[in-house]
Order: sequence, then C-alpha cells, then structure tokens
Amino acid sequence: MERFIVNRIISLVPVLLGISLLTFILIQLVPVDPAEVYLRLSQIPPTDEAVAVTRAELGLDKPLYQQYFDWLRKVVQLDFGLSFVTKEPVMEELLYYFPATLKLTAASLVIVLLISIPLGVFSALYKDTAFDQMCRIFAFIGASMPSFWLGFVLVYILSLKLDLLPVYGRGTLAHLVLPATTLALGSAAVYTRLLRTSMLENLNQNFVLYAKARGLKERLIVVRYVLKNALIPVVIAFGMTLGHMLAGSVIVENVFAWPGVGRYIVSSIFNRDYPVIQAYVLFMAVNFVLLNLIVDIICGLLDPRIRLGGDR
Amino acid sequence: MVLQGIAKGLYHRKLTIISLIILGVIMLSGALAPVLAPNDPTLISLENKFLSPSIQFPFGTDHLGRCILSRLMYGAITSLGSALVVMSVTITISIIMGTLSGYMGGRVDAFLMRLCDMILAFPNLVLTLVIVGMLGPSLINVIIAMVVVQWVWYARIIRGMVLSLKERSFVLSAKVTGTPDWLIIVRHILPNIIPHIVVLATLNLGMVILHISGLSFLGLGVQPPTPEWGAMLNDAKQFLRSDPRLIMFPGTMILLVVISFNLLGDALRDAIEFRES
Repeated sequence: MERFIVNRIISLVPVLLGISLLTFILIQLVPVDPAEVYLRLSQIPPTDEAVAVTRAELGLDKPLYQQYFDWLRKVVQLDFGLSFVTKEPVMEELLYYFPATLKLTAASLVIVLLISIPLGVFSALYKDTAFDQMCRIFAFIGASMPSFWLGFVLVYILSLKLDLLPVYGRGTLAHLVLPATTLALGSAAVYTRLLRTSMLENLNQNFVLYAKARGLKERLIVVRYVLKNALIPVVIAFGMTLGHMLAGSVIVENVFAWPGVGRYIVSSIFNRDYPVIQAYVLFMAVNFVLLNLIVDIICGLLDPRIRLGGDR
Repeated sequence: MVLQGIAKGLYHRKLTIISLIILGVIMLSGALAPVLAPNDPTLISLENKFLSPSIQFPFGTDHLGRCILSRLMYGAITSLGSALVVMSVTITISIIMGTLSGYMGGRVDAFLMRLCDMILAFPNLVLTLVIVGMLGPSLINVIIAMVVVQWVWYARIIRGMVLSLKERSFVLSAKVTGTPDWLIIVRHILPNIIPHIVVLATLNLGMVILHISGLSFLGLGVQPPTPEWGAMLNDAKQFLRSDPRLIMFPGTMILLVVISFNLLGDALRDAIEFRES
C-alpha cells in the first residue's frame, strides 16, 4: 500500500510541472502589456518611461524562460506576487476567500450523497418501476439544468413565494441550503444514474447469488456486498466532480452573492488583475490534482485490485 | 448505410422526434428572426418597460422596454450559433490532431499527448474562465477558450480509435497494395470515426450551450446589447422579486434546448451501438 501511494505521489511531479508551464503560458495570452494595466490600476499615467520601469520591476524585460523559472521559484514558496488592485499578496487573498467556497462545495457534496445514494440504490433494486422512471426523468432534467437559472427558480419558489429560506447572506445553515442545492443538483443527477448502473452490474454477480443461497438477509446483501462494490466507480468519479464543483461554484457564487473565490475571480477578471487570475488557475488545478490523488488512494484502500494493479 | 441505420433508430423514439421538432422550431425562429420577430430586439424605450404580454409584445418587455420575444428569437442565433461554431471548430481540430497523433505515432504522438495531459489536468470550466479572463470578455474569446479546452478531449478519443483501426485487416491490406497514407486516412479511417464523433458532439452540445450561456451570465461572454439567453438572465436577475417573468423565459429556452440535445445524443448513441452489436 505504501508503495502504491509513493508511486502515485511521484507521478504527480510531471503533472504539476505541466500545470505550472501552462499557467505561465496563459499569462502570455494577455493582449495588452501587463505593466501598462498595472500602472493604470495604480492611477499612474503610463508614459514610456514609467512602463519601462514597471516592466523591469515586474521582471517582464527578462527572456521568457528566465521569467518562468523566476516565477516558478516564487510559486513553490507560495508567493504569487501582489494583486494589481489591492496591492495585497494574492495568496493571502485567495486563502481569505477559499473557506467560503470550500464550505459551499462540502455542503453540496453532502447533498449529492443524500440524493444520489438512495435514488441510485432504489432505482436499481426496483428497476423499470414507476420509481425508476421518475429517477430517470429527475436525472435527465438535473443534468440539463443551467445552474444559474435553477438558483433563481429555487430562490423564487422557496424564498420569495413560500418564505422558507433566506435569500442572500451567510452564517447560518439555512443560508447554505439554497446555494448548495443549486450546486449539487447536476452532480446528483449524474451520480444517481452512475450508481444505478453500477448497482445493476453488481447485483448480477455470483457472490450475490452465493450470499442469497446462504440465506443472508436481502438488506445485508445489498448494503454489505452490492453497495460496497458499486460505490467504487462512484468514488473514482468523485475526484473529478469535486474539482468541477469547486469550479462550478463560480456561477453559483455569483447567483447568490456568496463571498467565495468564484466571486473574487470574476471581479478580478473585470479588473484585469492578472496575478490573481494566474494564481487562481494554478490553485484550482493543484486542488483538482490533489483531490484526484486522495480519491485514488481511497479507491486503493477499498479495492485491492486497483492497489495491486498500480504496483506493477 | 450508416445514416440509414441511424435514421431507423431515431424514428422509433417519440421523445427524439419531439426534441428534433423543438430544436427545429427554435433554430428556424432564430434564423428567420429578422423577418418574424415582432420588434427590434435592441430598441430601448423606457416608457414601455416591464409591460405585460400584449399583441405588440407577445411576451411583454424587459427593464429597458425591449421586446422579450424578439430578444429570445435573436438570442437563439447567438446561443445555438456560437455553440455550433465551437463544436465544428473543435471537431475539425481534434480530427486532424487525433488522426495525426494516432496514425503517425512517434514524436508527434508523444508531443500531442503530453499537451493533452497538460490541458486535461485543469478542471475545464476553470481553464475556460481563465483563458477568457486573459483574453478579455467577449463572445469570440469565449469561443476560442472553449475550443482550446475541448479539442484535447476529442483528440484523445479519436487517437484511440485510429490506433485500433490501424491494425484492422482492411487498413493493412490497403497498405500492402501500396495505397498512399492520405488515401487510407480519407477512405478507410475517417468514415469509421466520424459517426462516433457526431454522437459525442451531439451529446456535448448541451454542455457547450450551458457553458457559453453561463459565461455570458457572468458577463464574460456576449456583451450588451446583443441578445443572448445567458446575458438576458444576467440582466433580469435584479428584477427577480418584481418581475420573475424576465427570468423564466430565457431559462426555459436554455433548459429546452439542452434537454433536446441530450435526448438526441442519447438516441444517436443507442442507434450506433445497436448497429454495431
């Protein structure tokens, strides 16, 4: 098991280097001179002389490869430079906004599980019944629903018409329900179908037949034998989804005025605050990769076949 | 032959027919908007704001007194049109890259695949968002960003298909008889790949529409006053309490289109799998 984990961690190195390289290339896409943007945001007239000084200050006058290594050296020390707008360290600002996003994502994850496990399990056990059909329709609509619209519909019905939940603001659990549900619905729809398929595959296995022949209780078979196996593909997909949920929170945060990284990044894009944008993409990609690592390790723990396969 | 099988598979599903009709009507009303639309979609008249549906404004007007129906119709061109552009450019690039990578192998393959790995290491919405952020908010930049992020995904799949086709006997015998590589690709490899890619593309069109309108909703895509469904939702969000109608129309349109594309994609996939099994 240790070897599996160590190998997995070593394989991250080229991935992380690739991510850093692409992130660095991205800033080169900027059609205007970042030095000029910096000056404008600092309300200094961008004369030729001032631009030249700022370029030297930001290291933009050096050759590209050297800029990359200088940048990488700082990034490894978690130094992403200062925001053009607030002049505060970008990393500190990201970490200031991140907990809100994390809280939102974690809450949606709970909602995804609360919806998709029962729906997935029961629609497999009662395959082709009316319940299964309803789950199918739910999954279909859920996967097609634009989250920015769903958010408004939920606010309109649950808050404005029925007055059950608060609309904006945060603090209490009630404030979390609407944004988290909005973020969760798409993934919940996907997982319901995924779990159903995976349950059906496992229900037809010989070990289930054997367990039945031994006279074990139906519920015990489903929970201990079928569900445990059926959850593996779901857990694998989870790593991906978590990353996508962290990213998808951009839209939900903007619908609900949720003070997380998503709102921060959109306002930074409008301000052309390039250091923030660059730090954001790197931060999210590293999160995405680490989440996938954790999920891989969990799967290795759940299923020896994966662990041993990875050892070769 | 291929098309016949697919058409047969489609015919037997009522839902597919319904989604085709919905898409057809929406596309047609978008294409014919300059003729059919009752009003100018960008004409601002503040004395007409927040009007209820009437004969002159069948769906009423928005906060600037613009005709909602006309905006929805013109919005169909922007939303569907840009999604189709994204998809066709993506598919073209990925077919070229994927075939090149799979057929040539060697260094070209290694380089392209490492590039794919790099792009795939990012959550795709994050990368799209950031590319738009770097290039600046506009519809054309959204289209560029979406193509850059998506082509790798298809190129990977196409490469896999090419690799397995390369070993099939009809390709080997074509090679033995001295058929030039480009002819093998055009005559033997592409015809076997394209139906699968069409299915994948249809299944993903819904997602592309969601992303484009999502970015427009954030204000990063289509810029005002151009009508687009996501941007209309962005305009309408401050009037949720006073005039929820403004939210309902564009949202319903997006949902309808995405559901229709997903249904169509599902049906196409079943039809192709059925043909092959």
